[in-house]
Amino acid sequence: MRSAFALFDTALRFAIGLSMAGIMLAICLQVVARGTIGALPWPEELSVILMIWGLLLAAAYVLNERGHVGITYFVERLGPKTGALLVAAMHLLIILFAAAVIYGSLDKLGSVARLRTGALGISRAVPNLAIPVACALYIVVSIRIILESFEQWRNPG
Amino acid sequence: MTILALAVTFVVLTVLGMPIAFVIGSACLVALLISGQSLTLLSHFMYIGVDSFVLVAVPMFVLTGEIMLKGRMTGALTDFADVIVGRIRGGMGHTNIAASVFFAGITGSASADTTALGSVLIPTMAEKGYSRAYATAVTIASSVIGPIIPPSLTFVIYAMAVGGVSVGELFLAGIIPGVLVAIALMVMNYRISLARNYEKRTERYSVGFVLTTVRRSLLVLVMPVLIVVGVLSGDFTATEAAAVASIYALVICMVVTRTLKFRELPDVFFSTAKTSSIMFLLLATSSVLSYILATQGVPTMIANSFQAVTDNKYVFLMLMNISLLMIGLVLDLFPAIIIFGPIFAGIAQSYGVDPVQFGVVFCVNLLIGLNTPPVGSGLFLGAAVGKVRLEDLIREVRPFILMEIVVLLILTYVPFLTTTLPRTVMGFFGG
Repeated sequence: MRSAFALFDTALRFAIGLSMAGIMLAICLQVVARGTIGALPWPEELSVILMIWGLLLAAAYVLNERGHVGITYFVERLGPKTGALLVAAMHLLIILFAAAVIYGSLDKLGSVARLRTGALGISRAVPNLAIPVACALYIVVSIRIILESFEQWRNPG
Repeated sequence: MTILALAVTFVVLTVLGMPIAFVIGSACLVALLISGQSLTLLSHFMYIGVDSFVLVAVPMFVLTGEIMLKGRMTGALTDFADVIVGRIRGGMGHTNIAASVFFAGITGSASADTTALGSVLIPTMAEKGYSRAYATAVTIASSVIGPIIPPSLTFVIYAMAVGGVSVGELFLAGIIPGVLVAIALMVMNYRISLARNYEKRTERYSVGFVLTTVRRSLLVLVMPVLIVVGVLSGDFTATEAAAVASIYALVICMVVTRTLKFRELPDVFFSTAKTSSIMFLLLATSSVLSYILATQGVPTMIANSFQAVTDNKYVFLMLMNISLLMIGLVLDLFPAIIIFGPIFAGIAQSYGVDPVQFGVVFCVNLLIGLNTPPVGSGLFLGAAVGKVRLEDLIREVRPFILMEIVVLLILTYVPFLTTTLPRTVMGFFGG
């Protein structure tokens, strides 16, 4: 189980990094093509899709590392036990928010699935799907942080 | 009722330490549930908020900065700054501020400036006798120069949020204000250094060292010029300029200086995604908030209240400055731009304020908020990087914030400082 998670983690990190490299190459190719063979129709669309997927998924890693901007000044003054409980409560709310986004996105995915993007000709559900998938990852990460917080609550030392 | 519930949720969750992006999202969820609207709006507006080619410039500028950082080009810039200003009283403080000016040309982000320069310069300043809190204060105060001097992520996001204003013109308009902020901070640093008898560099560097430093820094400093000229000449869009700049940075660090290895690239790309994702998620959830505020009539309410108070452009600008400084106290930079940028830009237009000047004044206002409590993300980041107590940092940063407000007032009432450069250069490029 652990090795499956590790494999998933490595693959995801690689995909996220690759999306950034892909954006850089696609846009530079566009600049070169415009000056030589004429503008290509797809680099702009591809780079936006890669950005949406890459960055929304990367936000899950930042959540895991507690790297999102937040005001932790007051929580840090509460002491380890109360602080741990509060962190758990906040991540429970994040789970609720992410679940609401996933629930809300079902309708939208259904309505855009048959539509095609202008340049790449793929289903419009592909870029839209990034939001519920990323939210599912935020839920997984939040569950992990909640479990960790309970552990810290039980053994504050 | 909806707005009240939204505001209460926002304040409570912020104080309880939830990440701001999720605070905004949760507050929007509460507002949608109370107003009986569909939850589909959440994912819809989150998507709308980030589905933009202009926004691709953000990860590309971040990537450029990451490459330069991992390629160890920061050292060249701090050495260059030291060569220029290190011999004045408070030399390391001046070096810190000048390095921020040069560093602005490669990152365009205040947090990158604080992290990269702070981790090097705060310990160095402490070794030379500065208090750690003071060194951190200088670092976070000067970090706001990063998003003012081009390339600026803040201006890219402002242009995307407001529409109808060119990123290239905003880039140019930010140069003089960025330099003015640097001069103002140096004046304050000099004054404090005299009073506390802080050091100045006494030794002279050899001509060889100076030449090597200048040559290495020029490799970096050419990049912002490349970006601005590329955008203004119409050869690139801002997003393309950002991607080209990242290729330039790769060539410099991997081929010319050989300070970046191929095996380090996966880390560079992944780190870029993580850094960019912080602002990206903020933009996504802020877009939902912006929609909710619009449906509740908040923009009209704000516009009406300004127009009820005055029809004088200068009084409006003063009121706007006060409002934005207050907003900056409680809201982070990017959400504030997405939510209030379109509202205030519309009102400013009705008062006849130049859109480029307004854009700069608006962003500088909110950038000052990065270092003011209670929601100053720059303060928290600075306290963590500098390993100082927040209370000490707030006390030390106050005089620098005062200087930034003075510059803000000058920029507000002397439009010439922000409009001359774009007009002159755009005229040259036939814009």
